[in-house]
Amino acid sequence: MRTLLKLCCGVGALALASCASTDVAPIETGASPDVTTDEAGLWQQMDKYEQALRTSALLERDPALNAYVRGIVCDVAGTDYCEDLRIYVVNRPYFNATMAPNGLMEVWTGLLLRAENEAQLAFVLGHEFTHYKNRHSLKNWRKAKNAANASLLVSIGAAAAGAGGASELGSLLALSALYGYGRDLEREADMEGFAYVTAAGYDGSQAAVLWQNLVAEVQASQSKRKKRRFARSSIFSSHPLTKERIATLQGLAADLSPGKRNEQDYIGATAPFLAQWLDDDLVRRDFGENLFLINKLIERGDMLGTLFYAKAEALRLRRGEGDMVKAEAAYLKATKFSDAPAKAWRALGDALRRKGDTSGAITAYQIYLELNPAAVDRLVVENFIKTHALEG
Amino acid sequence: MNSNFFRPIFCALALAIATACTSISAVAPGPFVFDKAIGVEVGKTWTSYPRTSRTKSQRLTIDGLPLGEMLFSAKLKSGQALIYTTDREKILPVFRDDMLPGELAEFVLDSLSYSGMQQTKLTELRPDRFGVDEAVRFTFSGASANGLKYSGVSKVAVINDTLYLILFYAPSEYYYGLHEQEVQNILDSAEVL
Repeated sequence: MRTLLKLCCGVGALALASCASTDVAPIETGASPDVTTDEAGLWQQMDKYEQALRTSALLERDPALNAYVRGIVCDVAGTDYCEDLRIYVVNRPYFNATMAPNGLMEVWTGLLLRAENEAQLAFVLGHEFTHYKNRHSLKNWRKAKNAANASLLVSIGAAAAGAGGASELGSLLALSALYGYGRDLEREADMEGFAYVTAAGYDGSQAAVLWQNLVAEVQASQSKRKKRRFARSSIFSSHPLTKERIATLQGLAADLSPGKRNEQDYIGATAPFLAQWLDDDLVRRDFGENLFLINKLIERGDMLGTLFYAKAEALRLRRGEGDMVKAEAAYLKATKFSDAPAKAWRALGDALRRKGDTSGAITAYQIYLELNPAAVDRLVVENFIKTHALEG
Repeated sequence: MNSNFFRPIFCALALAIATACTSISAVAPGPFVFDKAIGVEVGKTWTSYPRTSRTKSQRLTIDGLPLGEMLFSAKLKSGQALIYTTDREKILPVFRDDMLPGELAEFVLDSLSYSGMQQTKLTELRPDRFGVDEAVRFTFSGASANGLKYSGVSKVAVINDTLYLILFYAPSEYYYGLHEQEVQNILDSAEVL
């Protein structure tokens, strides 16, 4: 028994000795880690990832959009740190941005579609910059390593005490501590990100608005599972509960005077991509969320041809009760606006054809082909016109 | 109880499991029948993967799936998907029996996008026949996440309210062109059984 105790003490001492400190200072501008450190290993991994990302088909390469997003990052992070950051706009229809320890920041187009102004986007970018500056990846990595060591120690101790079943409990506790730590880092990123954004002159109240919009969108989701996951927190959640984040951000903004939102600049910079981003969002097939988002954009009052077309597409794809009738009305409405895509006429033709209005369909199809002589589906559309014009 | 008692049972179970497994097999030039539903003539030797019952589909390849994949699917019913995910939060594109020609192409391309193909784009859609039945044939382009460009072609028909589909895609560079004529011949020979 004494030998076993000695063994446990030895393993315990080893595990404790191998604990790495999570108390690390913020990264300095222009700094990179010593090659012998664990931090260098993390950087190396992300350097490899970044190399692959540069050739990825997911990358949005438009120079104007990239320069615009980079400008906001630099506004928030300051020009010195900005030189250490590489920003990539990634075509993914989900609300997200990520930050790697080596200065690689990804901004997903789903976030750009959902932000209503520069202030809202700036908050997310400030949050991500805090992860970089405060070296959160390194802290998380070390915490994970320490948790694994602690879990091992508990397992050995439990086995030695003849209570092997308790080792699972040790693992669970270590894991929950790790997730809890991750949530604390997210809180820190919210707080400091907010400070950077307001220091740059942006309207701090928009941080909470962004989250409120996201909550409303998820509440409109067709996925009950997603709604449940979003509304409930557990010891294994990676982020704090959104309602907690909203309350914190509202508290921070309460005593501040309003800053800049730059809504028109934001709309102007993102307008050329709106139609594509809405198309990409529809591939997710969460029509509750799709329609919530489109209706919110319609409230803004511009690009209505593009937006009513997207609304009609969501209704057509959903095919709920009465959706096809509503879709036809939305297609028709879209065609009244100058920014409506030519394919809105083709879709209107399809809607009329489906309900048996052949002459209406032919007229809509003819307008479509006039507007888009190089249409990829010209042969199919012409075939319908020819067949049914003869019948007529 | 004697362990000899269990031996025949284990052997029988193992045999039953082994025979239930379908393996990768060769498809020699000549007639190929998918699921007793689609018949085609193949001109080269293809490798066939087992049929996936969940999506009612089967994959064939010559150079390996990433370098060229032909997919057959038949009798897909309204509300069913061409792809499968274990993520229960995801909502998949599903086939509808009232889909018009453009919507059929959209359904197939959205399914590919959902599976990870990037920048999927319809490049041509035209009327065609699936044996004696009306169909559409379309070509498309796309890219893998790491930027490799793909080209593809598909023939789709809705017969008795169910979907019949043959789809081929391969890297645009070299592989698509290498098998394009063979694939066009297969599509031309396709009939519903």
